[in-house]
Amino acid sequence: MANSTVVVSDKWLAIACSRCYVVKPRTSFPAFPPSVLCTHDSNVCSECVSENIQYQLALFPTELPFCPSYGCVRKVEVPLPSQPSGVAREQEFESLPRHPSTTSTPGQASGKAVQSLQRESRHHEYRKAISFLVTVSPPSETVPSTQPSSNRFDKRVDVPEIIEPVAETAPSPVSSHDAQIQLLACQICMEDLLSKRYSRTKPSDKCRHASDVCRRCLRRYLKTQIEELGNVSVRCPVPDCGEEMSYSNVKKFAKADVFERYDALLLRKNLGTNPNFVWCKNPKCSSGQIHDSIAGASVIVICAQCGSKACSHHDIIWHDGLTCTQYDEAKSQKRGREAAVETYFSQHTKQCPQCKSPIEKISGCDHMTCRPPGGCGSQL
Amino acid sequence: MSLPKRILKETERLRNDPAPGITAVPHEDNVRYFDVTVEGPDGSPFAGGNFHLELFLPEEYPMAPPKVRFLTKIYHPNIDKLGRICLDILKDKWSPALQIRTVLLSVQALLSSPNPDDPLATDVAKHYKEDLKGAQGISKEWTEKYAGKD
Repeated sequence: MANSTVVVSDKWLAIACSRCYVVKPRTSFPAFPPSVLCTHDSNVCSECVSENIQYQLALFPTELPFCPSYGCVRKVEVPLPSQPSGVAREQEFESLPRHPSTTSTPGQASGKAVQSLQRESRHHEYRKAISFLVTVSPPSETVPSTQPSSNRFDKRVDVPEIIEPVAETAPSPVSSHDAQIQLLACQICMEDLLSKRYSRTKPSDKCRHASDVCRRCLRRYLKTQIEELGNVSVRCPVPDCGEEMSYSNVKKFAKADVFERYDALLLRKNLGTNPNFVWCKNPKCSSGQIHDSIAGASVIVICAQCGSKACSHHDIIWHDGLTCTQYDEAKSQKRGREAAVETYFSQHTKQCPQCKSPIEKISGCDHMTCRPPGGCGSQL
Repeated sequence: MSLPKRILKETERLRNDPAPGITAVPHEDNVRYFDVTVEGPDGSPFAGGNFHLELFLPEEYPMAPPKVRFLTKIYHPNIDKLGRICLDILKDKWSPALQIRTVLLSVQALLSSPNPDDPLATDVAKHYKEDLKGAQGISKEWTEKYAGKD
């Protein structure tokens, strides 16, 4: 099936509701999209519109409900018990975020006037159309079944006192921001999330785009990047952005264990850039120290933590009883397992031109990445 | 495990609002496995061809990229004889904000602009570099032979 719209006859047009996904006749859909500002068609069936709006009203009685169509963030004009004057409402609409296609540039001033006229007429017609769908009970009556407790009910009675001062005085930016609940789709999981409940924030401080990614996705993204790919310079997941996430932001968004791993990887990467740094070779010790390899100094590094010895020249456990030259000689005559490893390395790996680590092509084309944490991350 | 909403939405959009020249239909028994067809872009040696691909969304999707492979034989420097594709966004340039749709559009774009400097099929890339006209001729021939519209 190529399209969800099935024409049976001119009058009987069936459309799949974008909320319940049930194919219903055209007559089961409102004549206009829920909000006058909606840029999409009326794609949610009357049943779903009514159900969703009642649900939203029950949850947030003081807020205008959002359009029930997924991804649409326009507010729906329904008569609330505490409706302020029409003028104030109109202003509220003007201040709402606009879809790019409805935003006018100065040159389109006349177009804007026409648009707003059209919008108003649509708006009134829609209000008529929706009036039978959404029955908002006056405060004294029992509210729809979605109302869970009398506590909510009390809140509803309080509405006029709360909202009227706000409507009359010029809204201060802080209070209106606090009160605004936005339903936006996360760019990654595509769930519609209430900004109030599911806090959304920019991955990097330098990001210039809107906060498009929810915390849950960001946490999962950091987990894959850090734990699976060993990447310590994580970039914002929004493709056109790519700003690097700072240490504090990784700390803010990642889970504690992921952040611990990140911290360790970052430390290892930064210490790795210091040629004089020697890790303790005792597998049970995670210490390391700077060993100045000035000419004439001892090549034996004694771990300050556990006391085990290492050779700073070969970067291995101290070869007991052998000097470095003797060790090299012995190594050239080595046999058995060590020799097999050596042969494998010489046959299957090449040295990364940047960091000289042995690298092996796992899959794919000749475009290779020297993968961190062992590698330097350079592309070759 | 229930299907993430993201996959449902993407599937729905692919069905209701398909990108021009691209179709992606999920298997009935496995909704993470898609049968894909990509039309060869006009002006390229692959024009007129209808290429079949398979696309699989791994468990980690969208954190991990989808796995995409050509099923139709194709003479292209960045696609090997097993149909594997060398495309940065399918590997290290993958971002979870990319989608099936964007991936397939990129695959289609790769058909219009082969990149013999970053080859997967080395022999094809060599041919493309040394004799562009001749290589494109073979690409066209293969398109007619294997990717004819059925």
